[in-house]
Amino acid sequence: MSSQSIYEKIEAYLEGKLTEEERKAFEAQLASDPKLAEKVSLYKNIDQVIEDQSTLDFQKLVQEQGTIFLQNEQKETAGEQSPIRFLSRRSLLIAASLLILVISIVLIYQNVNNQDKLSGPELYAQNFDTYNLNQSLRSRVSRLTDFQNGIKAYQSQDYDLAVNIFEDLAQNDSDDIVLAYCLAQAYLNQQPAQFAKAKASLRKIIVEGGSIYVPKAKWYLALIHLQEEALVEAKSLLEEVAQSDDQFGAKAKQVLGQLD
Amino acid sequence: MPVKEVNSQDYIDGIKRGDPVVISLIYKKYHKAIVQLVERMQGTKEDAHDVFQEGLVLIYQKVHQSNFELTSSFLTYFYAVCRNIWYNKLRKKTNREVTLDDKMILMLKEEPVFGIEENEQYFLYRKMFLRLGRDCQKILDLFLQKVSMEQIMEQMGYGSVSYTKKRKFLCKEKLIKMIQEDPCYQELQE
Repeated sequence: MSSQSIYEKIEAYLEGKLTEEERKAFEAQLASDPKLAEKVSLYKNIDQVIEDQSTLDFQKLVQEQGTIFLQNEQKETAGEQSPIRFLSRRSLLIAASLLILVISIVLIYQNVNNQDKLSGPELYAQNFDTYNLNQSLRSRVSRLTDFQNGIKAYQSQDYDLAVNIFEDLAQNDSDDIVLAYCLAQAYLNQQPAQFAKAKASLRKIIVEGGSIYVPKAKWYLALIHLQEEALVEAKSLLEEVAQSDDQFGAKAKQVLGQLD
Repeated sequence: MPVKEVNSQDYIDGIKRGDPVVISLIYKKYHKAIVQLVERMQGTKEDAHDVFQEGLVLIYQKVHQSNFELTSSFLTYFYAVCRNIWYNKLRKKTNREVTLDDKMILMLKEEPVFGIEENEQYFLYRKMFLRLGRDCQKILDLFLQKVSMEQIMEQMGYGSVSYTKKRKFLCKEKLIKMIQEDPCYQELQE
């Protein structure tokens, strides 16, 4: 039985929609399967929680006020701890001069010792930007409304939901390049990011070839290689991306410079 | 609302009607006291923040019961509620990583617990529900309001009823996963 079928059975049980025979069989199953029993109990309790909208709204209010309170508290603490207001203009100038001197020494030292080289994961962190997926993307998926809902979920940073929607669509439209690109981006933004799945989607775009998504896919694939410390693969892809005149080309050149 | 004009009944009335100004005032006046209470009892500031919020929600539910009567000052009552909540959490921790001195063990044994376990569980469920995306919250809420799948599909702008059902399933599964993965859920199961 698929997980969705079990879910539907639980819902029917809780709503009293099972026949007498089905109910007895299900209760026997519950008696012998503690995990299922736990799930049924959770379903029931969750329904009660959602139905009690008034308490839910109140808890939301308490959490919102709590966030505001903590933010204000942090601001006040930062203000109290800030030494700047106790310093004279002359002291500030001296402190600033000293700071510049220290930074210069550190920079010179790092340059001389070539210690400013970033690691692969650091380069990834420095260069990875969330791609701006928008509603104007032209996908050829059969269920366009669902695709747009996936984009909406992505835009509202609900990346788990976006992945769910795009994966669902990919079952029927696995060869759609735009969908593959959206899926890769959603994987990369999940917490934690799903690099292996993102790589598979990006590779599909590259192998297919001929679309405007190829250089972008190469750029993101190169970044994943950097994250995995696979520097040779990363460099090879970056060299290809660097050939193009767009923003990714410029970025690739910059990262190559940092790798050398 | 100027501080000097607020009395204990004003706090209770403000909680009862969900007044953000009163809630904000309770944070300003009593958050520090609850942090000190929890920190004294081996808790962290984060623990205290949760206890504070859980305490407010518990009072919200109590004041809506017909037999509710405030027999002390608001601070005394709120402090007792939060202390009970924290003691209850601490009891569970006692068997694991926390080592208590004799005095604290005695306090835990003496302190009565009133319906806190259930509140703690529901507080966690609500907290996780509020962390779901807006669409998920809406679809689950609409379903429990007995809105038909066709109407939910229209309201949410989905392509088909089967897809709407799938979304509802995914949202609920996600919520259950979030709850089960939370360390508090594990504690509640013990």
